[in-house]
Amino acid sequence: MTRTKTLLFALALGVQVPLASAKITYAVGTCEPKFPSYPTISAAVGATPPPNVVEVCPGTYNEQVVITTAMTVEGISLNNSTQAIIAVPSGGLVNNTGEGAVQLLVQNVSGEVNVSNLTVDAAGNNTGLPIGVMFQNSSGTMSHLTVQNQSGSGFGIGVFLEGGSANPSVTLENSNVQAFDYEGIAVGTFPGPSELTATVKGNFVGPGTGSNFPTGIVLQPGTTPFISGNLITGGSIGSTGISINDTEGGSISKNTIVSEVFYGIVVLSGNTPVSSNIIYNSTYASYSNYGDGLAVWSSVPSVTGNTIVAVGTGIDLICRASANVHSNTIQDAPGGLWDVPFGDPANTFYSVGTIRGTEYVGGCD
Amino acid sequence: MEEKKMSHMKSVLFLSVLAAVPLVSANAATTYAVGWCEPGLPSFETITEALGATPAPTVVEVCPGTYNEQVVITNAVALEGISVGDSAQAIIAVPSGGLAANATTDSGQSVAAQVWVDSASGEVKLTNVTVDATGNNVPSGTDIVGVFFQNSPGTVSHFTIQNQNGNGSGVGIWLEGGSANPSVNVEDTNLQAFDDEGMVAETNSSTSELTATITGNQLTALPNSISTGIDLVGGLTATVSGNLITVGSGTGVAIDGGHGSVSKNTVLNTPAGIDLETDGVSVTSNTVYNTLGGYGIGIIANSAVAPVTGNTVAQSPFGILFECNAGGNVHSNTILDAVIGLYQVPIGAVGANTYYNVGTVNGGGC
Repeated sequence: MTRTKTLLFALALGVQVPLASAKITYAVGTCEPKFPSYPTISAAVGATPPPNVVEVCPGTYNEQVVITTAMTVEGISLNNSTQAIIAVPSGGLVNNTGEGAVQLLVQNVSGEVNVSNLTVDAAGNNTGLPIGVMFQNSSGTMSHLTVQNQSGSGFGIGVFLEGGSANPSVTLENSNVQAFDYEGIAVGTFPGPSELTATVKGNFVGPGTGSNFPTGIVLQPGTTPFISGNLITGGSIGSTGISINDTEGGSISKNTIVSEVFYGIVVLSGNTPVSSNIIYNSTYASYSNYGDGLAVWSSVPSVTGNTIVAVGTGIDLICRASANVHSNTIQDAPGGLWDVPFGDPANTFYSVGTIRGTEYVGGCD
Repeated sequence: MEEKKMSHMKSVLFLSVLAAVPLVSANAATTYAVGWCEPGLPSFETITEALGATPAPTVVEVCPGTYNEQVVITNAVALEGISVGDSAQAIIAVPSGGLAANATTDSGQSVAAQVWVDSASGEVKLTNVTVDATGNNVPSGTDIVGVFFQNSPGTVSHFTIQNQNGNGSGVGIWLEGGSANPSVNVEDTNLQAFDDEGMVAETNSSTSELTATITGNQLTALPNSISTGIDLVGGLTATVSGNLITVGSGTGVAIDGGHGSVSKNTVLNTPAGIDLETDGVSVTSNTVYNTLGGYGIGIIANSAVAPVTGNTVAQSPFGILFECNAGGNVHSNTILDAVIGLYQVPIGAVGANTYYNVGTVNGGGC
């Protein structure tokens, strides 16, 4: 009798009353009838009880999505398609943060938010500050996203990772970010100690569009960045591959940067080492600050083991960097090192017209 | 005792003589310079003069400068640009009046080669020189070739080869095999602004008569030319890896023959990333990105045998084209952001691949 009661009690628990730890899954669209289904992603992520997983059926969803609790949002495959698209609502995007109009906003979430296999398309955004995906003071992972067409005004951003008091860790991987007209991936918080650990790896970034100096990856203060294995392409007027400003630790390594018209990588400040990157075909002009493979404004971070090919100037040391820049290979450049303040940093040169040059009369003195 | 002393003195004298008079040895290096930056070496005004001097050089060091000539190499030699003062740029440029046709391929094609390595019996090593065909003035019907290895073994490294263009038949490097069954490596070299092919590796044989290793190079075609980055033709054994290829209007890697592997290359901004048209070459772990709008194709797999695995194709209208021929040999690839993932797939012949943001996974078409 006791055994029977126990069994019945267990069955009741399992069948009728979800345990507190049970996973709550919702679907968006009609492809998963076994789950509670919603017509929009916003309705699913905002439903009660809040979901752990939201599966998005292939289709187009014209909305701006805000996520404020930990969950996984993933596009799924149905029949012969794996394409769930977050597109612009009728009338365009509206500003929903101080930074602009975000299509998929993850805001102040206490747990992990994981997003995968979605296309975020800002075509027809009709706004001045379109942002594809923004993680704001939240941790999580984005993978296999396509983020595109954040453009129109010259200030479009594909993916924006912003830190904060929660000191979040965010990973963006294996995604394709294209057709932005300002920044492909922006990473930053406020000046001061790092309040964000950002891992950006294995992504395709670019080309950007327009003439407002589009940059593939922008790293701003208060960040510890780990940027590796990305393929970054330029081609727009004044484009730059990676810009590094006052970052703290981390690394920039093994990225391939192609056809950036302005700079392959520009190191403004901070102490993040830059190593083993390939920079190819940065050719706006020669014998100037334009078309540089690397521009290094600081003597602090190590810049080593990079291969720079077919550029106007290999590495511009701006009369500031020197001994921290070594063991790089420069091939096919009118200028190898430019504006070297002192010393003779050991790098390797092939088919370089002038190994050490300067644009200033009298050199760096 | 006296005899021992004498013997010791003789030994010392003999050693002194050895030190003073260089031995005539097959291994002794004969080094010449081109230009006037190496006063310690016999120096010549042109590369051609240095290569033709007697005794034949084993090393030719080329000072920074511009050398307007077409160079022919028929002996084993190392030709290397050197750094002097503030420059590391030796340039082989076009002679006054343009390039002249000076060679013929195994198929009878006329070639104007800037550096022609012609049936050299030993290794020819070429390092750190720019070969520029600006102003070549070659009429149509003759191929403009930066470096032509013909039935010769050797290595090309850290070369810059550019501007082989003007008549639609410009080729950066041409590797042709032959009866000597040579092995040639091309590595860490930059080829740009060709208007037909960046690199050709070929023979006219049905069996392998060339081993070509092509690694770590960068290739960019002349904008708006319909070009091929790397082309493999005929009987050869090829290893093509770690190259970065941007063609613009053509094909990144065309595999029309041979055996071997094409792996870990990055092909971008090219309408057709990799075109496999033979059974003997595997295509693995390559990255193909942005095959442009319209009908861009990541990989064309026209073989039911050759492994096509582990590749990543991103931002391509068509991910992999099966040509109604390939099947289970195409698997474990990742396709991200495509209008159609697989196309012209024989019924029931699909291996397991992974798709993200793909409008139509299998477009059929057979």
